[in-house]
Amino acid sequence: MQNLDRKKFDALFEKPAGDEKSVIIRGVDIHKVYKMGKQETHALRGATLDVYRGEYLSIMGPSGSGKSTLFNAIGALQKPTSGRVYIDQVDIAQLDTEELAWLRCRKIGYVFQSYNLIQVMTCLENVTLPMSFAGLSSEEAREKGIKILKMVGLGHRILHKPAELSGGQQQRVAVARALANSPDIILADEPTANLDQHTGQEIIELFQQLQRDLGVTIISATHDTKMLKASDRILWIEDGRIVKCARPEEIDFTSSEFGH
Amino acid sequence: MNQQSDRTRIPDQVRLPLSVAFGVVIQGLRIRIGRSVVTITGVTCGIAFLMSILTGQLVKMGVTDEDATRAEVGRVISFVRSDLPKLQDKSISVVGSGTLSEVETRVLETISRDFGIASLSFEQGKSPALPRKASAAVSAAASAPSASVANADVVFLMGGSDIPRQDWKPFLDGDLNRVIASTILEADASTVGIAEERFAKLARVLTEEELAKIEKNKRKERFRAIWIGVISLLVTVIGITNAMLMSVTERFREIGTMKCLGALSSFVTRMFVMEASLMGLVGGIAGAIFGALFAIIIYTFTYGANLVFSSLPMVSVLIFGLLSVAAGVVLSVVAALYPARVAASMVPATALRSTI
Ligand SMILES: Nc1ncnc2c1ncn2[C@@H]1O[C@H](COP(=O)(O)OP(=O)(O)OP(=O)(O)O)[C@@H](O)[C@H]1O
Ligand SMILES: [Mg+2]
Repeated sequence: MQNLDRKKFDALFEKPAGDEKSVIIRGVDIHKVYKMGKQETHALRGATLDVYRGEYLSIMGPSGSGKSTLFNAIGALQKPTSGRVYIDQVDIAQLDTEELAWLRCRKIGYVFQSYNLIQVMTCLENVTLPMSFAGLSSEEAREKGIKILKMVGLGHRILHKPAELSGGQQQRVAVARALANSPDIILADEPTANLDQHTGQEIIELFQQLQRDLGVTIISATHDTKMLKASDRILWIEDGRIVKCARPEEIDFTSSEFGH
Repeated sequence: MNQQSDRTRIPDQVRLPLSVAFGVVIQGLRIRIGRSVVTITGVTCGIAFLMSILTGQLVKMGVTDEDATRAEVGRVISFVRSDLPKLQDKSISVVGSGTLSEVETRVLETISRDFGIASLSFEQGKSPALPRKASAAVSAAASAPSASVANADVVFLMGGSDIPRQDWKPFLDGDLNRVIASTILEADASTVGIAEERFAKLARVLTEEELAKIEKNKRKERFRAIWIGVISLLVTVIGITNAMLMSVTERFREIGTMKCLGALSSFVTRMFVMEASLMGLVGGIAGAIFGALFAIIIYTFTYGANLVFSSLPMVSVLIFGLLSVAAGVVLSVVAALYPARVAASMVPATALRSTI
């Protein structure tokens, strides 16, 4: 990969004639090895994927298959052991810390699998924190934060601490925080795992609305059939590799794989 | 939603103004007020310890000096009472030059209080003669300071090593019972031209042995002070480091989250430095006050309030207080810097997984 001709490689990004889809994230042959003492864990073994601008992509895979690791790699949170990640055609390995921070702050909104809300802060403060990193004044941030929290259905809980909320409510705060700086991309790791049918549906609708109205690219790891059905494309990851790609309409959701 | 990022503008947008960091810090301190109080208390304890040790040293040194001064004043006064003619109802005149020593000031005070001083003249053109305490005491007792010594029964010579220029003739030629007493070491009967028996030397020359002893004591005292200072500083450093280490490491996960949300390492570091210096300042001020009060109160029990308060050099206490506060701030920042750097330089994803 390293020795690949640069021109040839750039050509890969050129839109195929007649296809208006452009690539927003491209991961090429991503490997990730975790070393714990002598023991090595190969979490990713050459994952390659394209994510198109404005699409809603779901990633499926058994537990431990490397979904979160893949998210960290394509979300610029962790350098892969080898392989390349391009966001907006920029190799993120070439970015300096400031540019990476900018990317994480403005370009991508993260919903972490374990939420990672700051426990000592209220919901509103959690949501406005990335806004203050983006330089918003506290009044602006407050206003926008309340608006977003209302949007995810937590308007009545803005001054509660995460510990005082249910798992589903915390998840919605996490989603609200991901939306804070109106990102181009939302990376969501199991965003509906702890939600009941109804709120899960609301999150899905929220994502669809963001995608439709604002052209936000949404990437989410999920087992939720509803989410899979709502997405444009589904990738299967297994043992650190992308093994299958399909559109929801091509899939039989009644098969045993989906627990029916 | 800007699709194509303008990369040249990125640094400006990421480097946040100090006010934002300050806002986040204040918010953080307010939110975790309980934890902040615990950390500040840690700093307070460290600085209070340091300050109480320093103040204690000052009190002890002051008390030693005060003891010596009081002993010397006692010696001079008892000499005055026993060896001079009865001073009651005598007209006492004081002639001086230069600056009065602490002992001379007190002797002057005592004489003016017990017997009254008729006149007081100090050589002009010299450095300001009387310490405030003595001048207050004397001006209450004395008549015109320019009154000549001619009418005095007893004349005290005081002050610096210069013998005051004075026309002694009228005094010498008058009543032969009239005497001169001098606390000026260099003055003796011949400098004034008076008979030996009419001249009383109140000043005492310290013997070589005494001087050596004083010098040795001073050296010992200084060594002790430095040693205690270093030890207490060490204890303070450990206390503050522990407090700061705790307050930073328990927030690794939080720092990771912040980094994932787009905070720069430098921002994280700066935030912790600001937080640490704020806590160091508050803890340092509280510690300096508590420490000084503690030491003063404790020594009041051993030496008595009178001795402690009359001997305590307030300016030195204040200087040590300021130094202690500065130490609180500096130590807090230094102690927070290392864990903050470590936390700030962690890969966001790793920091996120931290369960501390
Ligand atoms: N920080 C780490 N250190 C060591 N091993 C890790 C680390 N993170 C992940 N792993 C390992 O890498 C593999 C993939 O983990 P990952 O979290 O990406 O799986 P996942 O697909 O997200 O699973 P789940 O659906 O349960 O969230 C696992 O075997 C895991 O044990
Ligand atoms: Mg996972």
